[in-house]
Amino acid sequence: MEIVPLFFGILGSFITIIFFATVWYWMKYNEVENGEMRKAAKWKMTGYSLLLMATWFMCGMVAYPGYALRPEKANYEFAITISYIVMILLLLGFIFLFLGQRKAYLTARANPNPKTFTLSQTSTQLHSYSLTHTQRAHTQC
Amino acid sequence: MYMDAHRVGLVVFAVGVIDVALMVWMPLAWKYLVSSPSSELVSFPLLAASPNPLATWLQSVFVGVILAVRGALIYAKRTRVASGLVLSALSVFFTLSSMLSFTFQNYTLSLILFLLAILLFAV
Repeated sequence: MEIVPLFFGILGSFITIIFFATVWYWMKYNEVENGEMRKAAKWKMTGYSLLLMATWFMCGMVAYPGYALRPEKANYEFAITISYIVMILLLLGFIFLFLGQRKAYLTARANPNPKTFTLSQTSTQLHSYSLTHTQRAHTQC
Repeated sequence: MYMDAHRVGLVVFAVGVIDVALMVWMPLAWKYLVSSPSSELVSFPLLAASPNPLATWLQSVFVGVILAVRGALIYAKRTRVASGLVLSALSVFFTLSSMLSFTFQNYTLSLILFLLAILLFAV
């Protein structure tokens, strides 16, 4: 199969753009969320950052300057060294994701949030509540 | 103080994004739109001006990521503005040192410095 550099270039750029958008929403999330859940989100964000770095190093492994995908230009010494770094970054990234997810679970278990309802849900509930009580009142009569 | 944290955080975040845009997205756009795809990415004028274009290119994304995430932490008042800025600067310093060691093929030192940078980044 032919290598299309444009494909890798455009998708690689999108990955970093989406990453920064993720950081942006995480930043906004930190404003509305309080307590331990923020810490869990921070661990996960660190994990995502490390995964992004691993992705970037992977690029150097298979393309310039490692060129593992192009044997005629390959610099395997460089590609092999980078592969070790990629594995370390991937491991650390997934460890942070695991810690973040575990923290989120433990926090949610320790402090179960009271049920929150949207306005429409609340009005529906109130409506059904009043109906039930009206029916009960009629039965008693 | 709250407004200050917001503004400083946004500035640090923006510097991270601009850093990546200047050193990563612009060279990519140049390679595929202006120049020919077969040309080397590091021959982009801004990167070519660097003593080590490859290290500069790699640094850009790491430093950009670190600044964006630390900027977000300052914005959300997760750290005090001053300590947030110091941690960001230290983290960036260790990343740059790590990349320089990598350039000079001192891989062990490079890895140690990079782990230090990650540690400061995650604090």
